[in-house]
Amino acid sequence: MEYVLHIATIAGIFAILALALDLLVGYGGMISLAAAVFFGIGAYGSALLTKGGMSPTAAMIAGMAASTAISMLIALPAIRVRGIYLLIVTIAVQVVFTIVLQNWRSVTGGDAGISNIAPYSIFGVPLRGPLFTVFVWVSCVAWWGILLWVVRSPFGQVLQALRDDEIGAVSLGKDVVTTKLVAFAVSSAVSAFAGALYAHYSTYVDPHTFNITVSIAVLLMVMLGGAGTLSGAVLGAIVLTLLPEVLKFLPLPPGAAAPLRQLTYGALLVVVVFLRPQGLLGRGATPTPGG
Amino acid sequence: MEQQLALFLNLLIDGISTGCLYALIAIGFSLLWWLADIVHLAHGGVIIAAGYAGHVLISRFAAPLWAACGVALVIAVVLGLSIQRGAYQKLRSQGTGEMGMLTASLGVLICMEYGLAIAFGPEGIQLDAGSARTPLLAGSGLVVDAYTVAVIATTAATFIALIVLMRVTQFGKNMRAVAENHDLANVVGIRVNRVVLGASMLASAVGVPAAVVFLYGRGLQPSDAIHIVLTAAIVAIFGGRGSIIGALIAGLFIGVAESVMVWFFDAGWREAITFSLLYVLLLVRPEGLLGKSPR
Repeated sequence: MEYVLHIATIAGIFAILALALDLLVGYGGMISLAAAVFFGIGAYGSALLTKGGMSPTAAMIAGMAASTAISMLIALPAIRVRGIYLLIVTIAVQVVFTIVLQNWRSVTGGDAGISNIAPYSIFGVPLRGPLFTVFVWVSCVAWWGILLWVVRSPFGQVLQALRDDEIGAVSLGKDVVTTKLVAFAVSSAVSAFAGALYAHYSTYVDPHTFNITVSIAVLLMVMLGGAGTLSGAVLGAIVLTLLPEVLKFLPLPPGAAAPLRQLTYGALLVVVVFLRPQGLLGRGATPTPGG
Repeated sequence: MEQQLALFLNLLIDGISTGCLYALIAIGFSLLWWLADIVHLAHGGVIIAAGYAGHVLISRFAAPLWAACGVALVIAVVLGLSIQRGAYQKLRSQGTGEMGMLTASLGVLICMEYGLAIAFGPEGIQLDAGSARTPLLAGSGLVVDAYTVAVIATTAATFIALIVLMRVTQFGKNMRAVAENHDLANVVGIRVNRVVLGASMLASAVGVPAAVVFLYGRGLQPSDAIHIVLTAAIVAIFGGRGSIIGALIAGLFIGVAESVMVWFFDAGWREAITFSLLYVLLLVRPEGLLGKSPR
């Protein structure tokens, strides 16, 4: 039972993360391999601030604010560049983030990370076990609803118009700069929220939890479920959280499990693009951003 | 003061040899980017695979270096060709967009990286350069060894060969035509797909010297694949589209900048410096140092 709860909690946290990335990738057409950065800022922010005596909710909000501020670093070049340039910028930010986590030892604890993070609590009541799992899924559904409202709002429509035809949207007088900046701000704040949940849940954060393999996995969740459909992001997160657990039951030599999981992710990325470019829940033709 | 100067010169030499390596890994990536707008992320995997092939021959079968290079070359070319035909061209004909191409290419890279990790273990490989690592100028305080000279000479030879190929041969002229204007090249009767296939073979082939330099230098790990292609992409963006010399200069510039910055910062921050440079460049001059403005 505890095992099932654990999987459900992790799946819920990644579902929030995938929802956040879908806003950028699916609706904004801006590819990003930096999801783990904002996830990590939320987690480290929460961990450090609650250790400093702040209440978990205040720490979470501070982490989300910090994440939003730092996301502007990627958003600024994203106003002008897309495709490969944006991909490289996001990978670069991701790698620099890992370097900072590993080398800024006085704050981040280096490779050892930060341990003994208190569980999440609301009004002084700590959330443990099933209660926390419920909290994760309630907040996931809440973010789902909020993001659904966002993508259907006039702002969301402009974002999708920029994805499909940037020049066309600009010539109709749509504001590229604000739209892209807001998309990044919302996405990174939601990612940081997921990160804070993760830090309180695992009680331990280290650089490896927030490196590029995590960003790749989250991108895969979005692409697999169907970029540009929020339900797809949630489905992708559930499938890809369950997949490694299924692989665990295969008789494998020790040490082969982790690379095999990554290999499966890589193969899935290729297979999805070939066979079902719109993802499991996507509709109709592939969106062709930048085309 | 003299010690300071010697240290600086040594950092400079180290930077130049690192920069040569960067230029070598970048030029193959650049070729496909210029010619076909393909972001060949799997190039990192091809280089690593070539390195592993060479390593197996030398360490397990005691093959001479030239034979190992030959086999690595064949493997790299076959891999490059199959990725081009089996993935990129297929996807293009399906009408896959930019995002799909990037994702597929990333997927191929990950498959190669972890395929190698499963086959050969994650710990990585290295070959001992032996006597090539003895300083040539004993007593001067300068660390110039045969390895460094070989790296610089290989880079120079590769780039000269490429430039000659591009300027003199029909294949090179076709490549330049396709890079300049894809559709026009098609209209005047150049078989664009064939030229791109040839370019992908060439791109993989020029990755082999880089793989050998890695083997005898800092070694290769499967997990380096993404770092290698990231460096390649950064150098390519820095150099600008369509300029072979630009790629060489960009590689050297980044290599030297990284090395000299070690003077001021802890070595752990090395990569952070490259990325900060890239960041500033993308904000200020997205078309690269020597590139033409995007159409």
